Amino acid sequence: MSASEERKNIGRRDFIRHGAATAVGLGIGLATESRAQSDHKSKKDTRSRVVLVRDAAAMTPEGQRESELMGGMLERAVCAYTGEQDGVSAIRHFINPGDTVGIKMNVMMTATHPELVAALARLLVRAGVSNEKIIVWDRDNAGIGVKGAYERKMHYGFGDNSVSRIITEEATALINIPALKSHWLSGMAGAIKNWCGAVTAINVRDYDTPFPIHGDSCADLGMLGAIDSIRDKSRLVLLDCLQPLFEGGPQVNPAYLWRYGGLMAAEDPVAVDTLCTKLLQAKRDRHRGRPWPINPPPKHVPLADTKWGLGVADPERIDLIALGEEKDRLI
Amino acid sequence: MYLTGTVQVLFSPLLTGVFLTAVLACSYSGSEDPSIDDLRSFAVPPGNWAQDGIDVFYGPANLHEYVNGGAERYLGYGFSGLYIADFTNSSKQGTLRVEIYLMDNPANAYGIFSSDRSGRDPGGIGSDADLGDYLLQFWQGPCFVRVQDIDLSGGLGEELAQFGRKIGAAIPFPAGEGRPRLLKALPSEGVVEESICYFHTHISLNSFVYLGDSNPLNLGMQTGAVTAEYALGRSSRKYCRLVLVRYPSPDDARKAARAVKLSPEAQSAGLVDISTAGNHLLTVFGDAPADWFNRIKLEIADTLSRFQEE
Repeated sequence: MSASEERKNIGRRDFIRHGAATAVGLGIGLATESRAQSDHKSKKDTRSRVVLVRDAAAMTPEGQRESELMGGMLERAVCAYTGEQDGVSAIRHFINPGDTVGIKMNVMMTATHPELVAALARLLVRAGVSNEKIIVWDRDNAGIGVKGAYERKMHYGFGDNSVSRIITEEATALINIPALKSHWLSGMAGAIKNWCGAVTAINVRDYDTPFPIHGDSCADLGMLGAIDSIRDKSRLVLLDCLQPLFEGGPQVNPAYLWRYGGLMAAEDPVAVDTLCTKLLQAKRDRHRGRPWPINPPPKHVPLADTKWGLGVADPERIDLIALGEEKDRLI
Repeated sequence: MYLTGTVQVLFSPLLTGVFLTAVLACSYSGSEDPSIDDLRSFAVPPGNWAQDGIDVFYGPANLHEYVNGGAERYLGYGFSGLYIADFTNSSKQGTLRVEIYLMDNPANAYGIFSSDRSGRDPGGIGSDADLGDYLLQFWQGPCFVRVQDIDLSGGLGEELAQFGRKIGAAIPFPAGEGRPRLLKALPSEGVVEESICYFHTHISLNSFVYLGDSNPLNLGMQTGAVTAEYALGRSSRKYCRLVLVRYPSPDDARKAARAVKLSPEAQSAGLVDISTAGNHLLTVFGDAPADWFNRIKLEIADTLSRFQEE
């Protein structure tokens, strides 16, 4: 085992606990709450780490269309997270050259910047992953390699368990790359909610669905990240907070977009969303000049920790490593 | 955005036939309530702008394909149909997207409009309008209209307003009519104007003040409600939120009042007090003192009694 592989395994061990339930869970392929609770107990003393990189150039419309700039931010983030000096070594902590990598972006309103996704695909190729073995997708629209960041016309469909076949049959590793927004139903949408686009048969009334996620302001969104094939293959979260939406959502009123120029990197989706909730709340309060609570409250974030065991929601146990532009960082 | 092509009909097969008939027909005559197919004829661009790209309809069954996760917001206002078209101008300085939502009545068109106001009223557009740097929203008759600079090009504020004026002129309902009557019951002193919202469902209310999934106020399409924030004194930075609900019967109002008093979410949300008058319920959350609530309660009860006399 190489040094980087060893570090990768140690890093992942903090977040992904494989127990006896895994073997059963893999067979079923759906979220198992008991496994999640077991994971949670085993992790209650662990800490999570999140890197936030901000770049002043990424706060302009032009900057947000520059894939090279995005690539620089991305490499800086993964290097800071892993302690490596170059992006290729850093990304290899999460991805092996032989992996088939599923990149789950978000293409709905306030989509993940395709330039950032393209930069990620290029970094993976430089790290030895075949361009043909990179699948970029949202819902049932997929593209291959760097080009997949911009064009997704392939359809892999969903298996009997309503989970994307990209996850269950194609990918050996998953990278979750959502864009941050406030959300009318769930309070906020970040890393945890991004898996909504990886399953089918969901509906807002939770009628006849294996994934009843919408009740109680989407409190149980964590069940998606807890689907065994997603939990086991997830390697990295890269959250696009270049231009978040801080009110409304998913439908966009551009008055509530702000060019934050940020990118977060972490293995723990719950820690990412915890910090993102804090960020959105701070922005809202500043915008109004008085408290403007996120409503509905994003219950799914703490429950993704306590019920689904996906990570750490306690801010006291999250280490934020903030790099780059400090002005108006807010967190 | 991934909606491309010329015309995409996304309704049921039955509606497809209706739609195709409408395509072949001339524009809306205005002799009866508009249908979803009439909406296209309302999307009139100003000079130098022409349709380019998206030309699509959505109905209640598939609205989620356009605003995934946000469709419920519209369905809670009696949504019937949506027409979307993109327009570019001859110099290609930007793309403006027109969205015309048809609600089941003008009060609901006002309601969805009132749920999000962040800009300024440009005047002379629709019944009420809200113009920001990249988005114009207005309502007129049963229509709620959004015109958006989707590339965030900027500098198209005047063009947004021009679109609004042209579309408003094409909608065959007079501006200013159909505002929910319940709005008149709101006291004017201290009200934060842009916070006034008319709504029906508890999901709508939860985006303002969170009372949980149990819906203690028993809100639904059978109820009408208004909410608004109030500043408590000029120098104070304290605010409260008032919610006034009209129920089908006084008994419904009383039952809801009892449920709210027992609701832990209502307590967490800062419930100040709750009161009923006939089939109306008044409740306030936030920093309001008891004497403020009592004063407002009497004022609203007085206004509502005059409603009954009219």
